Amino acid sequence: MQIIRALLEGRIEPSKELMEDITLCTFCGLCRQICHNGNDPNVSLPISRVTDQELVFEALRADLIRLGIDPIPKHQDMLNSLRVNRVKDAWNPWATNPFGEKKEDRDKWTQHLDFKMKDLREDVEAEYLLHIGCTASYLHPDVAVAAAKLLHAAGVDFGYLYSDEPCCGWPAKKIGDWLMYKEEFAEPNIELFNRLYEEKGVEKIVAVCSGCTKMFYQEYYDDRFYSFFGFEKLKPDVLHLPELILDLIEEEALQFPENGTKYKITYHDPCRTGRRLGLIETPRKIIEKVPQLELVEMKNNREFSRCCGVGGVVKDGHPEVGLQIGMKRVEEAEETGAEYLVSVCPECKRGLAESADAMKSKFAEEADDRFLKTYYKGKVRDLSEMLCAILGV
Amino acid sequence: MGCREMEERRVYLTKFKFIEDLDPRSYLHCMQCGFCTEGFAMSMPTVKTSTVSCPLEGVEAIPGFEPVCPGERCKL
Repeated sequence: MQIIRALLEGRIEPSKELMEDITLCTFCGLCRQICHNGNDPNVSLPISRVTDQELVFEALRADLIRLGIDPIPKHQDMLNSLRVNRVKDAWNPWATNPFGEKKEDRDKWTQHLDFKMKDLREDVEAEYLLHIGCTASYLHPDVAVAAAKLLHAAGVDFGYLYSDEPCCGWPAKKIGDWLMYKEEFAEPNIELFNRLYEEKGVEKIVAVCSGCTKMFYQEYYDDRFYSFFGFEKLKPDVLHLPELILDLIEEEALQFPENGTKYKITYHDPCRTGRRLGLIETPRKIIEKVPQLELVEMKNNREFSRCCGVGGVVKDGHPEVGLQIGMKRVEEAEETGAEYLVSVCPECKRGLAESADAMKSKFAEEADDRFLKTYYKGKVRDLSEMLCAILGV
Repeated sequence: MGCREMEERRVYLTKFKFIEDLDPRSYLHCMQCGFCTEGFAMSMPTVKTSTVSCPLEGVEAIPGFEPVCPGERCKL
């Protein structure tokens, strides 16, 4: 915030160096949490209860790009990737990704399913749209497989867009190219989802990734930037996967009878699931309802959880910094004595798994044979993967 | 320059369209107390290299910027 004040007061000017520095912020929101709570009882911070550092930093990145400062090279690569692979005659020509991967590979993970999901591009209807997101589709597809298997096991009426699933626009928004985010992601996506609502009966979108959920649930609605964005209303409701899983367990559509399996786990709160979406107890309630899971909390948990290093596009922009942030979190997880490090976001899985591998953590060791190990073999797992392992699906 | 004075002199903000679009309470009410550096340091214990532990050191490269150190209130 001191940087922002210095800019507004004219003490510093927009510059390449400034862009480099502000891209180190993970938008984890812990600064905001600390600011709101004011841990020291001797210091009164009544006014700062309305300060939102993340929003201001996001706006600053966007302003710098608007003022002609280039994004850092690795972020520019991501923006370029989001612009390639468009196919004019495809059902959804906007279905690109930030990782330089091919559009047709987005649904490659579905080969690991022993059932066929409804293809919402065809003449079918479904209550839910399963939105996997770019990270789970391309980098950690085992999470995608687990999500689909759980919904299938619970008898949920859901469909999928296969290779035409769109990117939510998170990278473009967080890097600061807001024009691209608005015109090439948010607006076409809202139009696409509303079309599914009208024509296919899709009432709810269930998103696997916390980033996609936050974009659909909060940012497509956000009127703080209304003068610039002015989006149409998104018609389907939006759910994060853990919310639906908890409902399914409470409705007994998913049941976990004692089977001799026991996993001692520690839970990492994704910044967006916890601090931003407020889903702090939902994953813990799921864990509590599954007798095969024993939770041991990390020192910094719930709203005070640390970042995995992926947030704010930091891992993609500054890989070494992202890796080190993730390592601090893995160290905390190791201190709990847990066997598995569990989260509910494929991006956190990516950050923590890469950090665990880099530091040769015990979480980098091979998981037991109940887990899908086609793409990843270690013990950093999504909660949906834990549930599939317990169910044996 | 105090918060109220800044709010009255919003001429400073015209260059920054998106920041200006925000609710001014998002940035004008920062008291520069330094508490957020604790959060920053918790999540980012190593900014760029392991030799840098203070986020304010990390911004020294910005020409003309003189960060305000929160002094004893800093949790680093």
